[in-house]
Amino acid sequence: MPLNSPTIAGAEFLAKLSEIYSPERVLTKRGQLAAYESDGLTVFQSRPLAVVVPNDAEEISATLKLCQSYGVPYVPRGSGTSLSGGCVPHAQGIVIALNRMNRILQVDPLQCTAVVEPGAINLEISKAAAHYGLYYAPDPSSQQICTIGGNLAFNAGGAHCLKYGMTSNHVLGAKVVLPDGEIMMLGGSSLEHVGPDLIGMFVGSEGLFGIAVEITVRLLPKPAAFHTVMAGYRSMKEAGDAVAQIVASGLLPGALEIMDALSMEAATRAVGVEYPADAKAVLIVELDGTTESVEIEKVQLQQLLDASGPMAILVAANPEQRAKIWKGRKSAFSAVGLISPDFLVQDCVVPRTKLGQVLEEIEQLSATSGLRVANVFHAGDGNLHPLILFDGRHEGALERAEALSAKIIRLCIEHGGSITGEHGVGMEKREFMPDLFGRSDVEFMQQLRRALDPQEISNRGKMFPDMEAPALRLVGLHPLESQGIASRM
Amino acid sequence: MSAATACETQIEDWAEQLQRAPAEQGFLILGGGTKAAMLPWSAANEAGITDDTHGPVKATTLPLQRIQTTNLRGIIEYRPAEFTITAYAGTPVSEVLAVLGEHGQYLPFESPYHVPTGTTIDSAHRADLASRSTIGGLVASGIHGPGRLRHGGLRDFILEVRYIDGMGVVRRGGRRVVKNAAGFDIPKLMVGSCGRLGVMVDVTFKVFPRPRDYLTLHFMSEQLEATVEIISTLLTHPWDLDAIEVQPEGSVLVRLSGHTDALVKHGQRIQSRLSKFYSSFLTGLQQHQAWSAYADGLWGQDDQCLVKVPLSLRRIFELDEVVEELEIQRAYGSGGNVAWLQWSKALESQIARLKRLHKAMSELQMLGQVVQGPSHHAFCGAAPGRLFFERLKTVFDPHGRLGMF
Repeated sequence: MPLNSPTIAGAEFLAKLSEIYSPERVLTKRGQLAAYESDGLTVFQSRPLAVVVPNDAEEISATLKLCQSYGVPYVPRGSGTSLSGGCVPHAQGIVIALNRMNRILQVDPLQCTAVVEPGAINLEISKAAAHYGLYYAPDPSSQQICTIGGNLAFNAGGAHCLKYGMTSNHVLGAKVVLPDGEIMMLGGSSLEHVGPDLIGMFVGSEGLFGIAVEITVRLLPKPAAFHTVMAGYRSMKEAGDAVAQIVASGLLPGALEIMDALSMEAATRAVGVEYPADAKAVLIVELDGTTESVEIEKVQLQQLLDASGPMAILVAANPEQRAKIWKGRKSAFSAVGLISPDFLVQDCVVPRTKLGQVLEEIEQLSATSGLRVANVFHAGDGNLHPLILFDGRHEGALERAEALSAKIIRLCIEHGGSITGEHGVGMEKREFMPDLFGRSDVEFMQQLRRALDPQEISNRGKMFPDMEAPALRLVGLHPLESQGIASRM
Repeated sequence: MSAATACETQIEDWAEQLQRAPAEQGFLILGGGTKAAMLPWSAANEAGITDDTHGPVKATTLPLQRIQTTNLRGIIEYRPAEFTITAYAGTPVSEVLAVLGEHGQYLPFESPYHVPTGTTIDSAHRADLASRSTIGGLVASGIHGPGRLRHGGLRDFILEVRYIDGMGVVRRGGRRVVKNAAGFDIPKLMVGSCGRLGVMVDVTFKVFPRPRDYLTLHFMSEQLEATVEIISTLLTHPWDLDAIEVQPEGSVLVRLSGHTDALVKHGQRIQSRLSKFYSSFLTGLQQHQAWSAYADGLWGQDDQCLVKVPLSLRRIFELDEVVEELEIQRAYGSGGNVAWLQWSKALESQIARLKRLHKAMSELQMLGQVVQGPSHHAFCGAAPGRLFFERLKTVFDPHGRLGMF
């Protein structure tokens, strides 16, 4: 039953929504809805029927029950920074904007946990915990603006995943609202669990299993010492070889990142970070841990880097220099907007030992397609982020960029990798799910979804191929990126 | 026929067996037999505890069919440079640890039966468990060792699982790469599922470089208040501690790992910060003996009931009071994140106490897993999220052939 037309059922549904929400928290005017039409992946856009802004779990539960009885799809949304089209609205559905539920309810220094609402900003958790010398480890580049609810839904990562894991490794429990409105607790506040790991299954389900309304996360003591090094190389292969040597040595750095020349050029223009002249690649390595262990490991690291034949090595001498290195790295995605009007971001994973080969093949694909590809990636865990640069004003450019993107994704699958390391499948990569898992296992996952959501109204159109999800196509930077507020990855 | 081919043939046979079996046919998935308490079918009805706690067990009029996963043995793929290893589910944990050790790597969550500070095992019962326990059994039970504290538990290192669902379809969840955000995280769901969702046939783990050396600090503490103070101080400082385990008599074992040269300085700093508590350094054989004795205390007896209870430091006093009244011995692991409750008595007494514990834990809204004890009584206490699991279960095993909780 389409509700985006002034039908009786649509009017009735909106009237019932108004019984749950005060008027200022039900948005239906075109101007009010504009901000919710797309997320960080701006090629998808769709206007929802309405946006509601709940204050608590009970309002969400009532909303989902209402959606259930009318068969109306809904999309939960935090800051809308998804890079996979994960919170693009459904044209016949509503958006549940969780931004008001942004409180950090508790920081418990005894148990080293925090309890937060889904709209809480990732970085704010670390700020709240800093007083106790604690922090929240997952650090997506958008951590200044992305919400923990979105991080949970898409199992967000960041630069420190090899050693510290992803969001799923730091979420201990959550109060959730299932698609039928039932509220229940999954997991708890302990590091341990017994029975099937239900919260582990919920994290990364892209909103298909419902909405987390109160999330318990693990906090870690902030490392006593860091040692951050940037090494410039004449080629990507040399930088990749250095990564292999570091990993083989038995060191376990907090982060191992590589940027290519195009990414460096963009980061220099955006935030003024200087890289070794003429370098074709830089490797960023960060050791963290106790003062004693970092003192020993940095000598070992220096020997490894010296032996890898770098053009230059820059060691961060103080926290400011460290911050600058990371600023360049974390701004690289949105900075690419300065050297290209449009770009697509990929998020594939390949086995680490295949990095060199895959990068060479991406270079060949880039040359064949006539589109430039910038590379900036988490080398430690093989998580690539090829940025396909194009100019959407030219006819067919987007289609060519998408075709190249598809080839890169399939290349990574062929090499035993995955279609996404930390952005999620969303709308963008759903057609590749059968390539990754096979038709039968994808159908099985759909059955699991239907066991909890028979009408498939929870974030309809995401993760699974061939699902109805009307969306217009536009190009360009997300408004938040244009303003330099948000960055990608 | 190669060992791998034999395994694959066995997997096909089991799948066919499940496909052909009538809906009411129950299956019993067996690993190394180290945790019989988590089995779904047994003589537990006769023992009379089932109805009181988790409702009636599904009736099965047909003789149970057994699936012995120890028939699947061997490392399928080990890529040290990728930090990943894939093994058939019936592969002994000892075999996996040995292969990883040859390349200076390990499973950071640790096997509960093995002690990383050395290889000798004096306790005959623990040695038996260590030799029989399988990698699939670890996943199914969700039980790991003290090393969980630093880098994470089993759930944090499982990457991919291949399994046969209740309808006899061979499926995969996850991917053999150290980072993946595609699809539902079925490998995590399998952790602790006690075989109720499928027959695991192979598992892939992320692994880490093994620490070069260990040092243990032994803190003396007789009062739980003091123990909690020690633990909370340890956890809120950036000391990268491997393990914090509280022994039944109250003393605290704190394990550090890393470069030998750094460990002593590091340990001294911790001692200095906690100088009001008496502590000593344990290294070499003494260290190994201390950790072996701790593991023996948990796993060294074969006639005991052992219950794992996830916990937080905030609630440790509540649980402690209850189990004190029930005269149950306890150790607290993972920095106060888990309680190990144990008592050693005749079967009737085990069951009677389990019933009382179930009641007390239900009131506390806590859930425990019976790791050793009367069979078919995998859990006691309150089970949050049960509805979520039951709905998923209807897809994994629609006929309930693999048993219910």
